[in-house]
Amino acid sequence: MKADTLRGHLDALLLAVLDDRKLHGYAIIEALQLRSDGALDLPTGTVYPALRRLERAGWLASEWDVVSGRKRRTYRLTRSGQQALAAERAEWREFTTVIGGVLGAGS
Amino acid sequence: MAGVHDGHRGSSGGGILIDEYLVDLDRRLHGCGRFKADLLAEARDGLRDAADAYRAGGWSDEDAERRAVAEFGPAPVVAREYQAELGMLSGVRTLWKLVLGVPAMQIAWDYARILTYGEWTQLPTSTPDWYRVVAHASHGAVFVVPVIGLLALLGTRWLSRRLDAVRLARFCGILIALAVGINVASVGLLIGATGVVDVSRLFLSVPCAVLMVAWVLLSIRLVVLARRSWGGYATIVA
Repeated sequence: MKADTLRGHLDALLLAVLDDRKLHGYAIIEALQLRSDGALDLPTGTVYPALRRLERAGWLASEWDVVSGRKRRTYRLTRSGQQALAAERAEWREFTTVIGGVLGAGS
Repeated sequence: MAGVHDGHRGSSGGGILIDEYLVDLDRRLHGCGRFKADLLAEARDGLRDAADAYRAGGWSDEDAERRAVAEFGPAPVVAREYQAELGMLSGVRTLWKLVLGVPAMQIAWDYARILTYGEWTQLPTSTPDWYRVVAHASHGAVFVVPVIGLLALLGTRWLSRRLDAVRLARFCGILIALAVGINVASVGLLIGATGVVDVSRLFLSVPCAVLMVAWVLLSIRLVVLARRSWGGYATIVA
């Protein structure tokens, strides 16, 4: 999947990966790739600034933790981030229902 | 260059390719050193983690690093995102200085004047009406500037959920420039007008003179920070 297609959904994807868990940057990227079966084709370097932006938005909180013997910045969802994720999921379900209904009708 | 050369090499370490990439990224970024070091430290960790994952998959050290750097993205592309974020971090810091620093200077100067000099009625020279207008405008600006700063801080948080980093950096840069411009204009106007009416009013007492100098220095510093913030944004869109 192309980076431009993904960019519009990156925030929601990052929130979804952090649902109910705390992860450091590379673990988030791995989770994204794992969940998409490697289809997400995105420069991983753009994920880190996006995480900082979501933190400034109040949706993520971060701290430096020791993970596997190394110090890493780890992220978790805030309450506000959980609400944003729920809203994104509802919006996505509505979107896929509507678009799927129209596109699927031709087959 | 903090955050780039403090790693060890080998497994879990930043090798030559990773270091070279980070040096390139560092060279492209402009902004507060502490924030930049923090962003680069996280980038280094991500690159090391990626290289480690490739090593664990059987790749040689060099190939593992090469793949880690390649998947991180071309430095010009990644630097654009990092610069936007760096600009925002620096911008938010500047906004807090505007919100807290400008009114604090005004309040401190007023208290210093009351404690060390007394009421304005003691002034030996008369005050023309036009000067009163200038003084009121300047005092008004002291409250307008932090209000703009607060709105920018709130707007930045809200817009972080809706705008991409580049447009967000532009929004922040414009409001910082506006607030800093109003502050500089009001300070310059007040000092200039006071100099015309009676220059001794600038030096009512030693604490007042010291605070006046501090106020001017703070205003100059804010101009530098605003220029830096806008320069960072200009780098992104260039």
